[in-house]
Order: sequence, then C-alpha cells, then structure tokens
Amino acid sequence: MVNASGTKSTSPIAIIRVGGYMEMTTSDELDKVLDGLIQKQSYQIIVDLANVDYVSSRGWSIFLSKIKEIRENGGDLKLINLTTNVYEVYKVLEFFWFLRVYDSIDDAVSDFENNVPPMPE
Amino acid sequence: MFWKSKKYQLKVPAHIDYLSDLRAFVVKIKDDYDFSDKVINAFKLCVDEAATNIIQHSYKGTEGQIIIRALIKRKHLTIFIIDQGMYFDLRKIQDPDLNYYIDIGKKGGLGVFIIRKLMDEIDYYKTREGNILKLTKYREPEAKKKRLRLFFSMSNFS
Repeated sequence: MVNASGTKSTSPIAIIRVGGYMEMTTSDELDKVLDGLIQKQSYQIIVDLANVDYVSSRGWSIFLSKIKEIRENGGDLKLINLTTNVYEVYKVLEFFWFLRVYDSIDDAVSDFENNVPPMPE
Repeated sequence: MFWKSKKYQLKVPAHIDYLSDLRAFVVKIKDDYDFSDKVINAFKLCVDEAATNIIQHSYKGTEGQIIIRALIKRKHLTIFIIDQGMYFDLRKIQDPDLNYYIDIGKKGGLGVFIIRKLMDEIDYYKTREGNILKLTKYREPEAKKKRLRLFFSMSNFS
C-alpha cells in the first residue's frame, strides 16, 4: 500500500507512506507515485518505511533510479523509520553510499529546511 | 544433544502470486527451529529474488513449478530452489555498477547482487529433477567464525 501526502499545505515536502511488503507490485505502485511527484516538480521527498517489513530488489532499484533526477533539481529522496530488517539489508548492500536514512520525520524535514546536501561531498 | 537434520519441501506454481507462500515457508522454519531474524529475513528476500528470476528468466512467463526444499542443520540452514525451466546460472551475473545504474535511472537488475551479498554460500547445478539453486546461511556465531577464517587465510597471502 502506498500513500502520498504533504507535510503542511504550504510545505514543498512530500511524504510517501508505504505499508507491508515492498515487492514487485507495491514497488511499481511507488514508482508511479514518485513519477507523479517528479512531474509536479516536487523534488523534496520523504519515504516513510515504518510499516515495511521487507524491500525487494525492485523496491531498492526504484529508489536508486530516481535520485539522479531528483538531486539534479535540487531535491532529495530521504528514507525514514527503517525497520530492523530493512535497515540490516540497507547496511549489507551498502546503500548508505547513495541514500540517506533518518530515525524520524523531523530529522529529515530539518535537513531539507536547512538545505543540507543530500550526500557528503 | 544429538541433532538430526530435518528436511521440508513445498511445491508451488511459478507465478508471482505464490511468492508469499514461499516466504511463509521460510518463516515457518524460523518459528520451528529458532533461527535469528537476520538469517530468516535474508532467506525471505533471497528466496523471493530467486523465484522472481525463475519466473521471469527461466520459465519466461510460461507455466511451470517451483519446488523449495529446506535442509535444517545445527549450524546452518540450506534452501534449495528447483525449477524445470531454462538453465540460468546466476553466479555468472556480474555485480552491478550502482553508480552507472543511478546515472541511467535503471530499474531492476539488483536481485542477484542481493542474493550474493546476503548468503554465505551459493551453488547452482542441474540434475534430473531440474535446475537447483542452493543457498546456505550459517547461524550468526558460525557465520562470524567463517568470516574470520576467510580473513586470516587472506592475510596469510598478503
């Protein structure tokens, strides 16, 4: 299940909440939601994975496939609230070189508001 | 205590609708044999990736069966994934250049990479029963010892 919403009506930050297993079908749903945001030039994106127990290769590849376009437009795709299972895989696959994760939505929003670069130079 | 190895098996149609049954098979082993979340989570993901590859590349969307078989031992869990489709040795697939994937916005192509990173041993061979992908992961203390042995054996060469 994939839901997209904004932080506040005036905020440019979009939050996507994903639930359940992020396998082929859910990942393709997320892909469409991300494409929709990019089309609307909404490039500050937070994906909340609090209710996700499992992210398949399809899911990870959807995240990676979007970050270039998003960052070239001054935005970022930030992941928050990773469960232990998902964080373990994120670490083993060394995706920390490409995607930044946060423990809370406030930390991610704060980085957007303070224009912290997506990844260290 | 004497430990007797155990075997379990499940056969499902080669279709994405049955991936959840394969994952449930793995979870049942955790419940019965007290493997860690880390080991079981790795298997859930790798079985899903391997079965998806079989459906897409080995059977190429045609009808077929996938058999999953678990061999439970004191120190490790081995899962065999068997199909009768085309021979597809995923060990021959090179690790992806993730920077390149990001550059071109590529979707997909990470399944084999994930299996390789998460499993301790991977084997693939053909028998009369079909193509067999053999995935093994050790219980945590064993996996650490194995990594240390590998580190020291590599240090001896340098």
